[in-house]
Amino acid sequence: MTDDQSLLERRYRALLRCYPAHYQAHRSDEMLDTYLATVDGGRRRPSAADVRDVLAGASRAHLRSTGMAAALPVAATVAISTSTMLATYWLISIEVIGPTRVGPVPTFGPFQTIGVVAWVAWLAVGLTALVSPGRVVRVGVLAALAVTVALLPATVLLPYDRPPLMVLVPQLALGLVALGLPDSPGARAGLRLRVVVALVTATAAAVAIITMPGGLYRWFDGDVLAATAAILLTGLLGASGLLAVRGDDRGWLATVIMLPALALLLVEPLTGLVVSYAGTSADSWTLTAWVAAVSALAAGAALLLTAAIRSRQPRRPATVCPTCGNRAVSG
Amino acid sequence: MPEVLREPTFLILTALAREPMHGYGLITEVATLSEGRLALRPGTLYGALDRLGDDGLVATDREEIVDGRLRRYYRLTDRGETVLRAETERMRLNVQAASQRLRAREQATGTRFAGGVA
Repeated sequence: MTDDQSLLERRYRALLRCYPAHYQAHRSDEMLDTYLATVDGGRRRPSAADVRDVLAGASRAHLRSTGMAAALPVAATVAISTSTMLATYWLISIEVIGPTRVGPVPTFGPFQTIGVVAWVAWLAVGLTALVSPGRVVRVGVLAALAVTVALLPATVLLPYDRPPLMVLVPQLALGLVALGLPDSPGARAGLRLRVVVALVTATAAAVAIITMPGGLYRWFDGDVLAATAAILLTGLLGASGLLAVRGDDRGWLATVIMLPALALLLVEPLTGLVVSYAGTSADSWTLTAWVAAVSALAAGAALLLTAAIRSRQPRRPATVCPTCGNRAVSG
Repeated sequence: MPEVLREPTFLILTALAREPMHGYGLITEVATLSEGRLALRPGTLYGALDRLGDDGLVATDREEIVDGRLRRYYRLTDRGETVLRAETERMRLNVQAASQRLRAREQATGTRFAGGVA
């Protein structure tokens, strides 16, 4: 072996240390051999394309080693269902049948606020999931996220009101998780997404129509968000328990992935707790912002900690049924 | 299991349908099968092999030491063969449908053209 070859090999070996330790033990010699077989003679350092390839592969391996990659589609299904449910409820109960307002801020046509545009975009995501639960849903989620974010500058430029941040931010958090939906979720997972989205959308519409609350966001947004968090957590824990019976831990991991969104849904009750037990002289907006930031950061830290702990454990290969392809164990 | 296989996945399974192969062999075979369009890099290839292994579509066939280096061979499993056959049939039906439509279009265009000349 020439000095150049030896140097190149050392550099590839150093690069491959980006992979998780247990993955390196299993694969690094094999990958090194393959990289060296594909490089042109005379090269002394890995090409930029190979560096990118190693970094991307190592990122994927880290994600897989935590088991989060397998749980992300489950969390995405829950997130799409919840965001559609909330959008349906806000659209009907406030935007469509809200009270007639009199004041300096005009209504947005027949609707209460400009937020109707975002709710229609999120509802379209849910309806798309019913028809084609795959890549097109993710494109729809991206569009709905963009529309929701655009409400903030829009209300500065236009004379209309928008839903409060406490309503929009959890929706954005749910949307970010929803981006984890795979391009082709598979027949069974696709059917599951369709059924759950159909059920929660119909339920949200029925509740909004039957109870006819017809108010402004500030009147009951905290209660609706807290109820949504309770339903979400109950559903997640139930699904986690059912999956755990089959030795599948994706439900628990999906719950951990959903923690930041759950924390943001619970900002109002959490703020109430802070006021009740700690007492504070801060104005309500500052306190709410602090509670939102701290709870989201704590939930994010719990998520990262779980990922870090799991990435240090050797990954167990999934047991796949040879006939149906069902995954029995993931993680 | 994905409903539709992505092209790299389809070509990896196709490459393994003939015989077990190691990583570099798979990269060259996929390039050949795709007529040079698809140049898999090792990081992408091994990521795909991990996923396919988890889904039970490929498995390690054997390991060899060549010039002091580990060479691991992969093979298509029975389930991998079933999935590859199903995907091939799906693509065949698509190609058949497209070919029929294109033939019909050619005939219609030809008839219009002939009619126009006449």
